[in-house]
Amino acid sequence: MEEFELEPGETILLQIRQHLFVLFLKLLPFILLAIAPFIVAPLFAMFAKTAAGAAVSGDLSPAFRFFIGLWWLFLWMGSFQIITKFFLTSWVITSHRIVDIEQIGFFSRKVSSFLLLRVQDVTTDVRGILSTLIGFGDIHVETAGNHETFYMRNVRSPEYLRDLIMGEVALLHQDGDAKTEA
Amino acid sequence: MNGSEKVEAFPTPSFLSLDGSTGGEGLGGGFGISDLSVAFPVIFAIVFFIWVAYTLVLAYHWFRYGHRSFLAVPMLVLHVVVSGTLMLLAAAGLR
Repeated sequence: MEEFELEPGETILLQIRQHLFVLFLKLLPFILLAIAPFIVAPLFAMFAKTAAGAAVSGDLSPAFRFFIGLWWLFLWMGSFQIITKFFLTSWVITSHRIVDIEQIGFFSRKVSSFLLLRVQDVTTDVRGILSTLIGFGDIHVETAGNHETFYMRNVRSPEYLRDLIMGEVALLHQDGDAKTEA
Repeated sequence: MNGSEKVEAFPTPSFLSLDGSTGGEGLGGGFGISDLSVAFPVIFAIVFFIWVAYTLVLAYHWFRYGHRSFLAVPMLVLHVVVSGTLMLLAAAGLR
């Protein structure tokens, strides 16, 4: 990983992203915009009296091909930017900390991390029918000290992640106690 | 104006018609979209340069931050293939 260096004895337990369904929801407007010309063109033709409906059924005029090609190209570029942001944004859970890697936009990237030893409480939040059925939700991690809350939004299996984080926190505390006693 | 002359208030633009012709002269003759066809290669060239810059930026991000992901190369190939196909579709309208 270039974003952060692992400390001695630190291992990566899991790297997670938002659920793929969230990506689909983000791409939905682009899909609708892609089919929009095929709805608008026949309507326009109906009102303009001269039938152009056939233009949609395969026999496209060159100018129509030109505009539809460019329209789809711009939509593809927009959707691919969203796909890129989706795949380059992730959370890494290591044995010592949680690293939040956020791709905000092109040339804009934020990497932050906090130690698991500071974790006080982990809350999962699954709201709505879709989230419940598909199995994704938010995780709120509250840290000790200045009571910062760290969010992992729309992640897959939040309950599993909560248990994983709490398990690691318990292990770290056990190790700490054992060292103190020794 | 004689009785047989037909006036169409909203002529169909050529890009919606099958043969590229306008549906009618419209009120006052109108400005056919086919007149814009000379600008198509220029528009296409501008869009192509935007696409090249965009693809370079995209490739930089995927290789810089997603280089350990097995998805980086397939995603870039997918981008080039899909956008290449769309540009071919647009280029087919240049004739």
